[in-house]
Amino acid sequence: MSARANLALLRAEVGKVWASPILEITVALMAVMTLMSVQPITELVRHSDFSSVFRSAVMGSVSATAASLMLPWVIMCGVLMALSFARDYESGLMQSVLSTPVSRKTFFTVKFFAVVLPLMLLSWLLTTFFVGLSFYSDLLMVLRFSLCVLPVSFLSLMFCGGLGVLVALVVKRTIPAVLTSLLANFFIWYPANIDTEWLLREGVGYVNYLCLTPHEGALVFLDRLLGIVPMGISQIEDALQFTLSTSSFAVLLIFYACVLVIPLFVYFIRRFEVCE
Amino acid sequence: MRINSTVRLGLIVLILGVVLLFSVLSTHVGYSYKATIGRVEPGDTFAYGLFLAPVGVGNISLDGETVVMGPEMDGPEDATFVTFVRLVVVSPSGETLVDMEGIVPFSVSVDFTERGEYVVYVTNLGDETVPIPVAAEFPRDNGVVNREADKFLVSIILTVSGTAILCIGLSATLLIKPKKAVGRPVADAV
Amino acid sequence: MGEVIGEFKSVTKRFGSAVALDGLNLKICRGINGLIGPNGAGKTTAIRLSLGLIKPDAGCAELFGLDCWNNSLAIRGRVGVLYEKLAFYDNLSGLEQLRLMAKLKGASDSVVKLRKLLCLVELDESAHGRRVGGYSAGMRQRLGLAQALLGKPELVILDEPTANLDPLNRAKILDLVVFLSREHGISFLISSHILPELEKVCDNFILMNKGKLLRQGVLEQMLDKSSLLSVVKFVVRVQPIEAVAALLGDEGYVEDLLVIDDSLHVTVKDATLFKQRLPLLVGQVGASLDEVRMVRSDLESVFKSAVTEKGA
Repeated sequence: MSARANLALLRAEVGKVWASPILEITVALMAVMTLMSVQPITELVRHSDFSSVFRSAVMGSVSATAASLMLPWVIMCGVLMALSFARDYESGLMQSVLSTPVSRKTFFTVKFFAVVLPLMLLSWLLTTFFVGLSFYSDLLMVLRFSLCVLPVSFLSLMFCGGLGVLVALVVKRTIPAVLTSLLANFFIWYPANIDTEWLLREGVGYVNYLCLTPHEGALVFLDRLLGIVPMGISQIEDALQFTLSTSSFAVLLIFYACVLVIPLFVYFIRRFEVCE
Repeated sequence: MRINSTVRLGLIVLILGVVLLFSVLSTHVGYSYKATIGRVEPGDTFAYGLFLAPVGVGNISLDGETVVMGPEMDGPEDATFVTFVRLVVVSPSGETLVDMEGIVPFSVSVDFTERGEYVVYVTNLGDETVPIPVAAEFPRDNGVVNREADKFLVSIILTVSGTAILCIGLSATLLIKPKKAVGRPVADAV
Repeated sequence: MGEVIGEFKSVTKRFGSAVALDGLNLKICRGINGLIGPNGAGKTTAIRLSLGLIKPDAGCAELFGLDCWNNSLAIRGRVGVLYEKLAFYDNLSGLEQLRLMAKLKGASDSVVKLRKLLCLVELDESAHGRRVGGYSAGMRQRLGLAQALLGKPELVILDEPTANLDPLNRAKILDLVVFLSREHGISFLISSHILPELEKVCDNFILMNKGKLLRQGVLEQMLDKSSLLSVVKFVVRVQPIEAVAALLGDEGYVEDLLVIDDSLHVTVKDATLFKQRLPLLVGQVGASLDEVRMVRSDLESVFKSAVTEKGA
């Protein structure tokens, strides 16, 4: 199949998945979450320290924004992926499209990225826009830091999407698939909501391993990419989230991104039967 | 009714504008920021950086009140210093907003019209080495004045332009009829 | 039967404990093939299997000499399909949907040509630019048919193509099928429960039940086979009618006996035996036999007799 046909299919899928009012709701949700997270500088500082304080404020805003956007990622990616696969299966659209010379590889890839790519781009655009609105005196810096959101959101969304597809291919019914995917994604996201640094200082042991969960790991990885150094590191310097290297977190995130998607992709192209 | 891409674009721009507008209307610049950086030798100048949005009129105050370590066992205690200083406030664009000399404590009103770092230079013109705390204060009852004007402007632009695009899109949907088809049933269609 | 373009060889497909296809053997010939069978016979499963949407558990399904599962892409490029369950990108207009499908099939996506195709299936011109989500069931059916005809396929599979259409439009669609088959050499595999319609247009019939092939061939072959193997109806004009009716009523091979006006309508299980015994019975009561006429079975009667046959 030609690239033109692949693009036409991607366009149709994006149009279907992001049909009104899904895109509008997502933008509203993400805009609210992003705006709430931008951290202004609220101190008078030594003039010579200002550039580093400014830099920290931009980094902190980007980091906090990504952390806030994780909930919309989890909700929208899980729901839309389950909706996209299960609804097409149930309605017979999957059967119709796969009865044309569209390969299963193309179909799966197009459906998957029709959800992931717009969410990733929206996250980046909104982060850049709202952080940039507060710190436009150095737009290049804002842009440089907000670019870090792209790989992190991509890897996180791959995991959320993979979970959504898994649920959709198992459940095969639209409403149950959407609800199950939402719950499963929410359950896995929850640890990212826990203030690990505070709990680590309190000596709560299991919290040490939370950084190895997909979403908390993504946030730690983002902080590492941004170059954020936690406060009070001496008290918790043995914690995994500070001792593991940036590349370890990158590997961990790539693992989470692939652990569901690749087996599902192989299953879909080799064994999945369209018989609704 | 078919929702076309213009309607959707208008709606998205409007959503961004409204969200930003609510955010700007519900936030207010902090009441007071105060900092003391060490002690200033006679003739020396300390420079403070203050990152601010265009929030309108506020006060730069040098009240001379600071916390010092008292005699043994007494712990920290409040102290007030009186000294002669020169205060210069430079805007982010490099414009000098304030350049005056005075005896601490005193306060000067500054109109913050730009976003960025306002540099506050304080020169100790007295004979003693003293800490010179600087504070930026925004009275709470100033309301509207101390909101971020640039964000407010952007939110208004987005809201208005979003509404306009939305209306154009809706008008196009409602008023423009779809094009008539030209094809005829013929045998060579397959 | 014409040239064979597709063949199922001992194909078995199970869904859990349910057997959808049970060692199915069938041949799809060039021309118009009618695929008939009761609900749950495995017709749709066979269609899906032929397009590589599902994998056979055993046996082999081939179209154009290619394995349906392993070469599904190549097959799908040569086949158009209209499913009973119609699904489209509802946010697109009819024309946009057709254009998308044309691109996916590698066919010409010229708007003029696509409009002509939509007009060919009698989809009203005013509907071309409307969202498919707002189409009626009949309009969706026509759009589906246009989609199936995209790119001049060698074989078009139609699963209940005339469902949702009024009788007038049903006839038009079937006329179109015949036209495309005769003039453009497109073969069709039509699955439908409206047997009189199929009888009019199909060259070859495939009768399935419980995942197995019951019969296959042209209508005459099906009828002959039917008359030999199962119930046949005769109209007998005889005088006096009552005496012969009483004797026939005692014959074991007679399934049903009706006196309508001055004729006996006899349904028998064994036509040969009936033909041998009737003159004897008429002679026994001294009646005069004016006429014996075998009522030609139609596809519906073949279908009924075949699916109710013992073991079918």
